[in-house]
Amino acid sequence: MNNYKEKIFKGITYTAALFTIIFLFGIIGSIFYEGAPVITHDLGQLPLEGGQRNFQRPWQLVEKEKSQRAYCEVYLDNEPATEEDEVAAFIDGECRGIGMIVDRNGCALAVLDIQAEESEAGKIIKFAVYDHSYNDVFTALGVAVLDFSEEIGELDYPILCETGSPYVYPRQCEEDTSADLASLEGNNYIGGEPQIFLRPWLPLYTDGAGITTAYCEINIDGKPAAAGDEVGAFVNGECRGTAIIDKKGKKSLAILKVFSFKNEIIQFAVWDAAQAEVIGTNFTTSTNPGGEVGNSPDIPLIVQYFSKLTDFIFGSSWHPTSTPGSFGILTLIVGSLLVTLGALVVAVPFGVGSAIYISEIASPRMRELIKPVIELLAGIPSVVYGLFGMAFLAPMLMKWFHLDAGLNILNASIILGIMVIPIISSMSEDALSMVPKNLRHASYGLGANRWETIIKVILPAAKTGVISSILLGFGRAIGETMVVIMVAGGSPQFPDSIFQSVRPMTSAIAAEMGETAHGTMHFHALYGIAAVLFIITFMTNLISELVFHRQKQG
Amino acid sequence: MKLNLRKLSDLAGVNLLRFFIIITAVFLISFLYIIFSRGGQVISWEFITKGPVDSMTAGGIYPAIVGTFWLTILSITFALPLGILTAIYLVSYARPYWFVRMVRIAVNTLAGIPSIIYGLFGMTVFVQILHMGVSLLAGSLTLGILALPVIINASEEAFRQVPKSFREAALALGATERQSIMRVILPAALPNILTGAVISIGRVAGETAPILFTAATFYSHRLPASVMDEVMALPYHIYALMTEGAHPAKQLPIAYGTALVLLALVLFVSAIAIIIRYKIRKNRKW
Repeated sequence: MNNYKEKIFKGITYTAALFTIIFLFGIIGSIFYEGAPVITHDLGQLPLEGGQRNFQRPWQLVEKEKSQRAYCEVYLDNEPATEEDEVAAFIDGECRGIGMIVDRNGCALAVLDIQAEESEAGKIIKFAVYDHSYNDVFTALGVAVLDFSEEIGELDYPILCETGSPYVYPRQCEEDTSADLASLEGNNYIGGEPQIFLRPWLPLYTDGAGITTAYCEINIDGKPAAAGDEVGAFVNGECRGTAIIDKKGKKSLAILKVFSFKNEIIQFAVWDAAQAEVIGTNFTTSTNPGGEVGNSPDIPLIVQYFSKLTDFIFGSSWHPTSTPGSFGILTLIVGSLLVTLGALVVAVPFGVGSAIYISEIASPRMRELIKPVIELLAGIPSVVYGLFGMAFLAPMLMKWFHLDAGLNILNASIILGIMVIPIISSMSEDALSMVPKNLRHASYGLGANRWETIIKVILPAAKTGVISSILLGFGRAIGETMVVIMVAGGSPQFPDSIFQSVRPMTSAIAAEMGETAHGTMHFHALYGIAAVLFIITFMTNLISELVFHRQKQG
Repeated sequence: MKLNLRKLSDLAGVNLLRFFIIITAVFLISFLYIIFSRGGQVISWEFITKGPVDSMTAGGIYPAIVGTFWLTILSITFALPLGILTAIYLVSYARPYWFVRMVRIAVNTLAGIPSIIYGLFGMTVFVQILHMGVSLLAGSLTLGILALPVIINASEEAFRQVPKSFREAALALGATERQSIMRVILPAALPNILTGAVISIGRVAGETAPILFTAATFYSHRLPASVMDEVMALPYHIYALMTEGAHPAKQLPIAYGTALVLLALVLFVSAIAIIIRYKIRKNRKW
């Protein structure tokens, strides 16, 4: 009977101990699990859930200002160009637009959007064609004039364009073509000399650039779409881009150029060629003019994750609520580090100095009195320090330094510093009192005075303990939330001086978590910050422990 | 001359240290003075027994006191047994070795995790996954886990201070391991464990970040009726008064008053614990 009770009791203590491990893994698991989508989210997925038919075919592509569209039929040495070839447009030697060649019933067609500014009207556009199979660049004989008034190749071009209806699509290809290397017809045709353009072409987007490249993986009802199906991108019901689906391995991929000149919501639809029907998708994303959404299918997953990780950690733009949000936390990390280092600048001399005084100079009676007081002070709630910094110190700083605002790095550093002093002080004092009495006696016996003994004997002997107390203070300060959220100001920026405001990581989490919806990228980004913060504090504690452990062994 | 330089540096150095501790004391005393003097102006019997009125610009903080009381009590109720049992495991059973190591690493790591991360954990696990919602229960559990490493460390230290001979004597008299722990070691260590727990109560009562998303609400017109209710809490009340609301000028004195009540509670409770611990150590026969 007793044996049975014995085992149960032992089991209970094991279970209790197990809980600490469960809690730790729960905490690590929850922040990393919720934070991971910041790195692993795949904007390129277009998860299709069929059934919506909001968009009627044919899709009418709508133009935007400040880019000029050129329609070309492309021949290389009198043979139609193939699908992987490309056409590029150049102004002053700068690449301003690239069009992929699409095979339409034997006609090699390309549509280019040539990026330019209003002031560049009248300039000559030159064209070049990239022959993929020979890895060669051909220069087109045709050149055109940039004028924004209408589309190049529109008016008399029999294949793609009709007056008044730009880009009605798809169409039958008529066998009535010119035979130039690359032909551009219309009222802008000038003619000109060939010129050499070297690959790779780097499109140069001017201020008015408005093309978002979207990489999509398309599945229809859970199965990869067939090659030859099409994807259309729509903004407010206007078709802003189309692409033909390409099979790469098991995946069906498409690359769309979506037109817009500000951030707008894109909706997508897929044309299922086999069923001859249009399927709407529930997936929407936001345009990113001049940039990309999704992942280029040519980049391996691990590289994508890594590049998103570096974007997250080293990105300096934190605009989580704009569309699309940008989630670079470097300003937040820098903010945290600055206020923490500032706090240590305050706390280390005062904390370690007080500890030395208490341990080496104060009388034993005074020591007995001060130690519990320090312990009490370490328990003062941080929100009370925050209140003090916000309501008392901030106005003082404004008066002393003639500032417009008192919530800044300096204020946060002072308040955090005061808060950390008791922690550093009590741990340093422990380390100093662990120094054997013999050392002191030997030092005094050799004729050293108090200061010499402290600097040359005691401090070197207690060095590791003091360092680990400072590291502990660092960990405490960088993880502190309420003080920094109240007094650091809150601007996500790289400050120029200590009188500017910053937004440390903890304050971003605490201030924004209440205002973001569960499951949004912003929500995941906040957990991502927590994960970064966890790693920083964990490493700090680890180093502190290693340092302390070494001292114990020594 | 050399001797004089040495004397000078000794004088300068020691006075530098004296300067540091005096400035530190001045910092902290002026901080406490500001809180107590400004908070003292609004403290009255009504302030601690009535609820807030006129959208936080007047009235008292009674619901916040009640909220903090329950949060603290519940979290300690949850953390104390768990902490003591874990400490018993670490001190008495401590097998197998790899498990002990893992538990120690877990406790040390938990102790260093920033409190806001506990808040996120509580929000994910208690509020969302376990469907507790923003409630007294979710907040207490979060705070309990936060207090757990402190309690484990304090309890372990208390157990280790009990002389080995106590256990040996109990075993020699025929007691089982469990009996020696429950009837001899635990009673001997309990006063120290409890003072450690009381000090951690002070910490728990003052924490704001973990309850931001798990328990706290800016205004509740009634007291919590069950553990599933949102609660007001003193530290969150200070934060909310300073950062929300439409009348910052009228809210500031109330924030000072709330800070005074919180600070007084925390310091009072911790001071009692420290004094009791001092008495125990002085009167201890072993």
